Amino acid sequence: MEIEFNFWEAIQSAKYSELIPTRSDILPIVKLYQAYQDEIFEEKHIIQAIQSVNPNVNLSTCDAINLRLQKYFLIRNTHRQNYCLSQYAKDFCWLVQQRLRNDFDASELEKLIGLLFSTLEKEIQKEDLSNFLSWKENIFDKNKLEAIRQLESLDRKVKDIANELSNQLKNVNVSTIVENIDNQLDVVRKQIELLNNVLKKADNIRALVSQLRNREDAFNYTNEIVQIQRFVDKDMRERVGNIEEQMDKIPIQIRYFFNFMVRPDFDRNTERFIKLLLTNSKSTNKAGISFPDGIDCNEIPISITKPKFLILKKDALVIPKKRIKSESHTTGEEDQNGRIAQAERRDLVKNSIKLWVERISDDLIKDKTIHFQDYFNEIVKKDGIKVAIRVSAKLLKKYSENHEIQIQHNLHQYNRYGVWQMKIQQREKEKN
Amino acid sequence: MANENSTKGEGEELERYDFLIHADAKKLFAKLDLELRNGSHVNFYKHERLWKFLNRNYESLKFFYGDFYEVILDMGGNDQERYYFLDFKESETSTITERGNLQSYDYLRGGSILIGLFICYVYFADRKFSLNSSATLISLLQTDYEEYKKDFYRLLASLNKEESTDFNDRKLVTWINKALKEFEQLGWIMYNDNSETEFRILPAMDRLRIIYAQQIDNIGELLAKIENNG
Repeated sequence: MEIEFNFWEAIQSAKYSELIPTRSDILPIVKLYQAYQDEIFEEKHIIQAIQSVNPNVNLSTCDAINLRLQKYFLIRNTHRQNYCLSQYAKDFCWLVQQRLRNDFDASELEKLIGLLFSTLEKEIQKEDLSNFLSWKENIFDKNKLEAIRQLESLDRKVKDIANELSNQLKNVNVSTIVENIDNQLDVVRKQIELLNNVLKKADNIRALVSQLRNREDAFNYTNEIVQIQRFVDKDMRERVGNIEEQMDKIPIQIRYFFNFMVRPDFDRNTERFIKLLLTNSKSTNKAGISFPDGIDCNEIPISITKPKFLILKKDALVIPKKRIKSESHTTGEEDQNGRIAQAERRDLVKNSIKLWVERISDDLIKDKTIHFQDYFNEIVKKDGIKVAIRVSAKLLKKYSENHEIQIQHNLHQYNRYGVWQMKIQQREKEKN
Repeated sequence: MANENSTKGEGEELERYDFLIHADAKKLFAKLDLELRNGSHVNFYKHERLWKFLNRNYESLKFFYGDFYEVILDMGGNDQERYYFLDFKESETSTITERGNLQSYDYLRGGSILIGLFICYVYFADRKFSLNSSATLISLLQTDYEEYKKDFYRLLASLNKEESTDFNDRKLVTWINKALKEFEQLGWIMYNDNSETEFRILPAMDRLRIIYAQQIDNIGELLAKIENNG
């Protein structure tokens, strides 16, 4: 049974640094690749390459580097006492070289995509697809890398132009800048125009492979078909889209530059001031950012805490044994609204008590005698038990000296409360 | 109270602080005082009632803050866009700390100032009125103001590269949101009803540029000075 290869585990178990060496180890290999590629060379050439990177390296260090590189990058012929680069070293250098090349040519890319299309068309027209896999591996996969590299190269070129524009705008010499950038943009614009033809051809490739989906004998090549479609959709269309997006930004940058030139001084200087702060300020650990010397950071005070008030409760003062409780209140709107609502409720209760006491007093003057339990039931119903109790307390206080108050201690049941019956009447001399 | 007032008659005193007998004083003054001493810029859009009260009683309130706190009640903008604030910086007397309770104040941080200046520039100078959330600010940084992006990342997300990651984007958003909260407290922006993300930039925001007006007007000299020192 075939054991599935696990790249992640493999690279950890292998000596990672031998496969991906440090700068001082890999640069001599690049030097040797440039000089010899497929040819053989001697040990003195390796030493020269190592010392061209770092002239202070002694022979024993050179020897150590040589031994390390022999693991994957150098092959030594012990009989002939010479060396050549391993295939891994050549592939490694080739890939790096391709990434560094900056030579996008839309016509080359067009040829390449054209070649892919024509060879694919031939394969598809055949009765059987026996050579399709071979086409995919030998023609498509190899040329795909070159197509991607070319597009990446164009992408870099556009980014370079944008950066150059940005740098040049700092040196205000308008006519030279615009002329220079315009020339560079012209070159890229032409390439983009050609790219549209390339994309059309790439779409044709996509259409061709899509046809394959209808063929029964293409069933085994589903993965390959998906890879080709992905190449057109992602590697070609998406990359070109990104490049065009970058291109679109350049005229915006130029427009902003012209706006900048005609803008009032204060606005223009604001931009320069922000740039000055951004490029000359330093990031610090605690304070966050420190501005350059001469520019004060502490200009705008802002309150960090809302003031707190210490409020003493009124009733706390009349009960001396109890510890006086203090409450701190912030002055938030929510708290304030809460306190207002509470005060309003308190006023309402006070008012009800006052009205009941007045009414009962009037009745007492009129009828000379009142039976409080009749009122009590009514008060409980309308304003609750608390108001009823406080009304009875008020009446007791008001009439205890000048009136006769009779309280019968047998409980008169009202709902869940037991109430004593209380009769208040004017004294004889009062009645008269 | 300042000595010069001690010789004044009772009537004159009242005239000097006649905001106290204004019909709305009981309802509004305490709140107004709190807003002003919190560093807020009282403006029509966010504090309509307080603003109207202040607008009507500006002169007498100015006396009050000058006499009792030794700070200047100042204003900026015109007509309905006028805003009022206490200028602590201009008041250089030693008593300000004690009377104005400055020990409970902090200062707007450097990062917030940078974000604030950038917002002023984008909104007031470039007139990008679509700027109404931290998301649109980030989006503008990534499109129209790309040349600022790298430095913002360097300073606020401690990132020294052209490229960024989601992690660094989040760091930048956190900075921006913190700054926006401070701007809200200062009365420079106000969040829209029922929204914690969308805001409106108020005219008072441009005071940030006015604070640094001297440096902005003399930017050439400032650049030369930094170049020489560097």
